[in-house]
Parts: sequence; C-alpha cells; structure tokens
Amino acid sequence: MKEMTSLQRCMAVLNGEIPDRLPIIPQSFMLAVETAGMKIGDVNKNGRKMAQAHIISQEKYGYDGCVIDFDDATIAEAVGAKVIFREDEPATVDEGCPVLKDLRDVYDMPIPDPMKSGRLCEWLEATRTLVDAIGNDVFVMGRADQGPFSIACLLRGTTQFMMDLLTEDKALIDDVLEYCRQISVVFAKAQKDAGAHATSIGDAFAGPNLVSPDMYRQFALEPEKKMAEEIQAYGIPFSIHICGNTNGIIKDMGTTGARILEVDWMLDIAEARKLVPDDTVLMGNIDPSFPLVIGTPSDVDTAVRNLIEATKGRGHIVSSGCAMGRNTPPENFKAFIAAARKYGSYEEIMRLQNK
Amino acid sequence: MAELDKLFDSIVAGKLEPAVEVTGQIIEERLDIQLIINNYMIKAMEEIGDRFQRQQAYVPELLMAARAMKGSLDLLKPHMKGEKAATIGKIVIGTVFGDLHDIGKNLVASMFEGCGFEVVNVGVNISAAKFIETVKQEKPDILCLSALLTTTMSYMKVVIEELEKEGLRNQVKIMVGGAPVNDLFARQIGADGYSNNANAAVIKAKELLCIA
Repeated sequence: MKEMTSLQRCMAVLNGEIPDRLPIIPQSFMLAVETAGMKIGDVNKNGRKMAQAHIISQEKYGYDGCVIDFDDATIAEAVGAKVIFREDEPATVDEGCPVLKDLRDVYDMPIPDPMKSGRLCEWLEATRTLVDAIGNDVFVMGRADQGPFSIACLLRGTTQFMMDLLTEDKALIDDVLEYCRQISVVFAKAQKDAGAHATSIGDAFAGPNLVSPDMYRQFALEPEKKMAEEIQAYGIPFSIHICGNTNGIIKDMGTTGARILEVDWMLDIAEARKLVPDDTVLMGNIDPSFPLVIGTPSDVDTAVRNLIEATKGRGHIVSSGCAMGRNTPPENFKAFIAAARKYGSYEEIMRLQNK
Repeated sequence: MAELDKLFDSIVAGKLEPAVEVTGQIIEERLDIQLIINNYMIKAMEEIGDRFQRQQAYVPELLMAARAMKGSLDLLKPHMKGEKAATIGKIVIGTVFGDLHDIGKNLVASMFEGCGFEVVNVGVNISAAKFIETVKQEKPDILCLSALLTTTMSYMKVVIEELEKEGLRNQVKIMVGGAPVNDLFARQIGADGYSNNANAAVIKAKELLCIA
C-alpha cells in the first residue's frame, strides 16, 4: 500500500478505512516539553513555546499526531478558579478555595472569552502555531481541557461535589453541569476555529474510579452527549478522554456519538471494541506507568503487540492510556512508536482481521 | 433503648442525622462506648469498604459514610472513660513531594480511621525531611506514601532511602499507593506493601501489623 502521511493515516481511521499502518498519537505533552529541553512552568503560559515543544518532539520521534494539552486547570481558571503553578509539574486548581462555595453561585458565573479569559488564548495559539508548522502532514488534536463533570468537580472541590451528588437536588446539579458544558463548548469550538483537526475533553472525574456507572449515566452522560453533537455539528471530530477503569461505562460512552474515545489501560479493549459502535475510534491504551516508565523496551513491544492483537486494528489509534510522564525513558518511547509501526502495518492488520 | 443497628445502618448508608441521633441516646444511656465503636461503627466502615472494593459503592458513598462515622465519633470521644479511644495501630499518611493530589489519600486515611487506626494525615507535597520528622515525632507503626504521577512516584524511593539513612527504616512499615504505582514498583523500591484501593489498604495494614 502507498505510504500515507501521518494526517492521512489518522483521517483514514476516522473514515473507517484501513490505513497503511495504524497511527500512533501518544498523550505526550509533558514528554514533548522535556524532549525540547523546556520546563512545563515556562511553557504553560506561552502557546508558541508549547507548539515549539511539540514540533521538536514530533520531528525527533515521528509519531502521527500531537495532543495539545497544558494541564487540567485552564477552563476553571478562565472562570475564576485559583490555580497553583509549578516549574516541573502541570498547573492544578487549588480545590481548597472553590469558586462555587454554594452550588447556587453557578447562576452568577461568567462565560469565558477564548481570546481574553485566563490562558485559553495560549492553548489556541499553540494550536494555530502547530497547525501552521506541521498541520499539513501531522494530526493536531487541540484539547479543550476538561469536560462538564470534571469542570464541576474543579469549581466546587471534588470531595464536596461527590457528596453534593448524594445530597443536593438533581435539578440544581444539572444546572451546574449545563453551565460547565456551555463553557467547555466555547473552548472546543475555539479549537476548531484555531485549525485543530479534532478536539477533546477530559472527563475523568466521571469515571468509575470515582463515581458509579449509574451516577455516570445519571449526571455525566447527557452533557457529554449533547456536547459531542454540538461540536461535531460545528464540523470537527470530538473525543472524550476518561482515564482509569472504564469497563463499566464504555458502552455508554459509545452512545455519546463522540468520534473518538480515549481509553486507559484498565479497559478491556477487545471487549470494548464490541461494545461501542464500529465507527467509534478507540484511542489507547498502553499503561503510562508500566511498561512506559518502569518497564523495558521489550516490555513496551510486548504490550503494543498484545494491544493491536486485541483490537485487530479496527477503528484504533495507538496511544498511551493517559498522559505520559516526563520521566518516560526515551528508549521506551522509541520502542512504543516502533512497535506500533511493526504490529500495526497494513499487512499485519489484514492478517489479524482475516484470521 | 439506643437502636444500635440503626447506627450501623446509618453509617453504611452515609446518613449523618440518624447516626447522630442514636449517638445521643448512647451517651444518655451511658453505654459502653468502646464496645459500640468496635462492634457497630468500625463494622459499618468495614462493610462500606468491602462494598467499595466489590464496586457496589464508590467515592461519594464512602465519603458520606466516613462523614457519618466522624460525626458520631466526635460526639462520643469526650465521654470515653480512658484518655482516648483504643487504636489498633498508628499510621502517618501523606502525598509525596511535587504531588498535590489528595482525594485518594484522604479516602484511604478516613478508611483507616473508620476501621480503628489512629491516623496522622500530613497532607500533600511532603518532603522526605518532613516525613522523617513526623516519623520521629509520632512513632507510627506504618507510614503510607501516595503519588498520582509517574514523576512523583519515584520520590517514594527517595523517602525510603532517607529513612534508611536516618536508621528509622526498621522501626516503621511502609505502604505505597496511587494510580501509577503497582506491586512490582512497590517491591522494587523496598516498600512493605501496596494496595490498589482504600479497603485493600486497611486489609494490608492489618496484615503487616499481624492484626486478625
């Protein structure tokens, strides 16, 4: 088969075709910053530097797509949350000083302006710069930070919001989630306007590591579904990232209609492939800890081989299950990409699918 | 008569008001508080912990149970005969340097507390020096280290090495936990135990201290 560009490869998977080889899009913003010899603290207030880090790292390792991500604090910050910045680790929301001291405060909350509020413009600058530089050939996923449920946790304080779910009126909680959905939509649409090939949200707080599948269906699913519809109608594939153990909700996640689901290592991906629609792309799911940080290149190779055998390359973008640590050994990162090429070649995929 | 089964049920269901109501009756009727803590309240936390491990309860339910337990315990404490409640062991717990995650760590801490341990929760972003100082001061049976990042989990090793240098390593058991941590890593850095959820942490701690 004729060799494709990275972008063609990713689009082929999104279009339900078999690419020349499976694309690999690692969740590697922290590693990209490290590879570029920068510190996250210098980069996370400067979109051009963030783009530069991705350009250097992508050129060095040759993977097929970049996920633009700075931290999980940006949307919350844009509507007033206090954020803790550090040199070596991503910024985080200071949940000890919640924005929503009472859930009813949500009715007075602002809608952010992508050009002016917090660091939204820096993320968008990163997208624009990256698309200009390598976007003709490489897939650019401009993440829109957090999804509705996770934003609610960050604005209210996760521990308190968890208890609110059991004690407050459903209608009030739905109003909070609807506000969070609206601000998330603003950012996701701005990512399309900035030229991103796809956009995504992280909604990990809605996963079974924190709340039950019933609660996911009761509170998180509808806002995600509504958001997926709205963003995809705006003309850009939408992706939902929920890390942790999502076996109990993967089928529901498939009903959101999101074109891509980013899934973590605890998910049985062979089973998941049967539970979500055929045209939903699964992106994942190598464990960022073992083998990527504390394993050997040979451990990485084995994990990728098992992964591709599990999906048979059907609607699959190879990735890490969650963000890769900056301390991932370069030889493991190289092995990750090499293994995706080796076991994800067109010939291998045809062999697996005809077996 | 105080309805002790209602106390058990209220804690399991995470309902503070009825738990407090029964607690008031217990105090009024001058019942054996230590016995009630052991036979009803700790049992209730063990029940919710077990449900958590079996994925029949999740973080919201566990937090509500811990809140009901604590509400009741705070009322009982001033009425106890001895100086303080009998504990089955002392635990110091904290998230390591560079890491600000505290939800999981706090959950584990409240399960320990609810199951009869004395817990000193030192917070997040804790340096090896601070852990050492706390171990010297509090003399815990177990030190629990938490990390949620692949970068900060390597700091657990630093803490263990520093404890060794100070000659404190043999005086305390060490348990580690957090999303990127696994059993293999725990053994590699010389920890005594690892668990992947709050209930298993309690079981592991009892195992390390040989408590049936």
